[in-house]
Amino acid sequence: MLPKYYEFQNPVKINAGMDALETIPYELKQMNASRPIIITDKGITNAGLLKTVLNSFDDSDITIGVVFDETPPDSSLKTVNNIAKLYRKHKCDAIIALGGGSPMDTAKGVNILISENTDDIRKFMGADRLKSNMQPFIAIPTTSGTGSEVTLVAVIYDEENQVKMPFTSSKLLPDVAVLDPRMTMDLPPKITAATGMDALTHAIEAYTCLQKNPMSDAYATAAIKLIGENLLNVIKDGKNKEARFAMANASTMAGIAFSNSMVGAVHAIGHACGAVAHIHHGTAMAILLPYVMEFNNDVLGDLYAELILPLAGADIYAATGASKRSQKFIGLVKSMNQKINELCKMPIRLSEAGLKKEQFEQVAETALNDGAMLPNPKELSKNDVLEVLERAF
Amino acid sequence: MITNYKPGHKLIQRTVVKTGFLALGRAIESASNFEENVKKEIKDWNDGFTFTMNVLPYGPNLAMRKKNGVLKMIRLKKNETADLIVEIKNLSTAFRMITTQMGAHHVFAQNKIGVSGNIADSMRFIRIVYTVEAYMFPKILNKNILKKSPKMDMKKHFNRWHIYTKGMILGK
Ligand SMILES: [Fe+2]
Repeated sequence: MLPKYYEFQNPVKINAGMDALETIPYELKQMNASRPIIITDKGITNAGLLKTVLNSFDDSDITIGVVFDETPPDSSLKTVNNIAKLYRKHKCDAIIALGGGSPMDTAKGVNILISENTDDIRKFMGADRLKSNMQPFIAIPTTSGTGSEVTLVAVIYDEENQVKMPFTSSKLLPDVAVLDPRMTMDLPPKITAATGMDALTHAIEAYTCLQKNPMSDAYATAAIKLIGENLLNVIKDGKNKEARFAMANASTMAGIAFSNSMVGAVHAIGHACGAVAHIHHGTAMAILLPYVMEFNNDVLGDLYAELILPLAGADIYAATGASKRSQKFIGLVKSMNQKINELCKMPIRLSEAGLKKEQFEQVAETALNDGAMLPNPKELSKNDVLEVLERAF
Repeated sequence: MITNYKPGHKLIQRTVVKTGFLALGRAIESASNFEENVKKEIKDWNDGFTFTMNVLPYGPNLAMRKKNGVLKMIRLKKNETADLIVEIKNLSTAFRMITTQMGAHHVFAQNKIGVSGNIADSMRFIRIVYTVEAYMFPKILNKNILKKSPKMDMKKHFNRWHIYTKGMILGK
């Protein structure tokens, strides 16, 4: 059924594949820029990825104004302010974010600060508050999961007031997302698995939550197909270039889907597990996904049933009776988790991931106040969340 | 050739929304006195916490502030800001919402509402509206606007009666 009304937007140019990094100088020039800042973190530098990126600028007329590689794991207000100072000091004219979710969010924060010419981004917290033209912004993801390179949201932690500040605006979308297979080749299996399951969760929630629409559906199902075909292979063999590239594409497509149709209760509860017990986002997604689907099944069963087709193919779809398909789909996700666990020891129970029973109350309370609860088509009470936690424990 | 065309006004929609906001505001005031769920939601707000729901660009609007532990409708002064600002992007959407053709979650899903403020506060606000709407409208209309209609027990019937009589008239 089509929605009565929907909105869909994805203006991000996607440069993907072999030598994608080498297209950046041209793209910068197209945007009248020649002195970018690179925002990344120590992990990226140590993995040698920064060097690969810097080398890709050889024989171009671009000068890298400054490289900041001290982004903390959670993007913070202080870091954003510091980087903006560097940006101004080194007369930069474009932003390149290199990394996973944190460097991306941090770069978006810097873009707000510089473009709105302010010293306090808190004034721009909330939805659609940005009015100025933004700096040229290029995103190079180094994991295949967050989808940040195509999402219009940034979450930045305000250390002083101890709150996470959300910013949403289509102006936060990068101009170009660069998917270069070299950037994800050396991801360890466990992170490959967790981020891949995050991407799968984005696609499934995008396909089933209230804001779903025909455009986001197309991206979501295409992403699920690539994940079904490639995730296990790439965990087994990280050097499989094709599978790596497929996962990068899947993650970006799932990102486009959920940036337009939002995520649901898996994310709401997962965010809460992260806030309360510091469980890795992707790991929390993998663990919670089947149990939240079981909860949603009486409302969303028909949609889950359809997803067997992209995830597991026509044979399995046809071999499953119509009334059993939604259960089958949930079972397929569970057995994917099981195989991943055998391959790389990624936890598939909340207890293994470090959650304590005493923390259930706090997780449930936090989850109910998470914005991702709203697009979930089935209402969750506190008891419902507690029950999901219990089952996933 | 038409030049410099100035759009007209949707007077009926505007009047309906205005009246609806007033009724909703009164019902929230009333519920904040005695309804357990609403009381629980506003517990974490400090006295003085203010929210406003505006229809863009000219209103109507519904502004409320926590005072002595309960919510009171207020009129925001010019340039006065609120802790939580909910903006409905056009009058037609507000009209569909207030006439129970659309629930708050649908309005969000269609991207026809913008929120400035803390996410947890917006979730509390939406739950307050849900709770109060469940009393304001009969079940047959609730089905459109709530994900799940609450079960009505004796106490809830009493609450509904309270909101209909004292609440919407006096805000008590
Ligand atoms: Fe996610």
